[in-house]
Amino acid sequence: MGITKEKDEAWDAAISFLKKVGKDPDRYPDKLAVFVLADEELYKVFTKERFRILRVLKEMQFQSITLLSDFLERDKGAVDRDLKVLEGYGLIKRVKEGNRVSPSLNKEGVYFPLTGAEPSTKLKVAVR
Amino acid sequence: MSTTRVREKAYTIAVTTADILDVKIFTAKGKIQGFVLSYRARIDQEWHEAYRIDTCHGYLHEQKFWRSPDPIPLKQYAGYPTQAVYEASLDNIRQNWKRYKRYLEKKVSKKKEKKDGHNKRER
Repeated sequence: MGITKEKDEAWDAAISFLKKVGKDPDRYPDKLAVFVLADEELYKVFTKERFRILRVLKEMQFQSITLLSDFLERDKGAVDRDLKVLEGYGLIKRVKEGNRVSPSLNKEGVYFPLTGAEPSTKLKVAVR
Repeated sequence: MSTTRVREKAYTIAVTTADILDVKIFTAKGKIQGFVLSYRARIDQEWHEAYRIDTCHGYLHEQKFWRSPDPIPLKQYAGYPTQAVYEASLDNIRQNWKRYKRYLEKKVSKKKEKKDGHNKRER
């Protein structure tokens, strides 16, 4: 029941955010990855190594996954798996060029909404 | 003659680690001109698109991928402002995502059973 409620809240937060974007689109960036995940789920997605990949791709271009893995000093298979996860969340894209796959960032930034659904559905806590 | 520049926004909304909304919004002068809303689910470690609703090709239509990729026109929204249709489409996905996911899971499961059965026969 707890998990269902969390999922409902996540969906409400996602839809609420998208409606805000629709009402005033020029206020928001053009390419964004938005995460309304629960904390435990966020930690599963954003591991230290995946963050490192994002930061490195922000600064440098790599013409292949092998070159990226060499730079990170990590196993190519492990880097490829991380890239696949990041690609699933829209954060990177992998472009095939001949027999090479070149990874690059696909979004301007990552957004974690700190507000959920509309205020009327939230509990109000009195502050003294 | 002036042409209005259409801007495109491309968002990926991770609702859970197994449920994602891919959203494209086309805007001009601060207003929505068109959109693509796509819901995909992760089933057996692979992402599958379950449902899409968009205004591409000049008309609003949906695609129920557990059935087929063929577009189904949504004539009941004809004449409404794009902003309102966009919000109604978001509400539709909000209300029905569980059902879409269930149908997609059944389809993926049937496909897998068929493939496993075929592989067994080959051996």
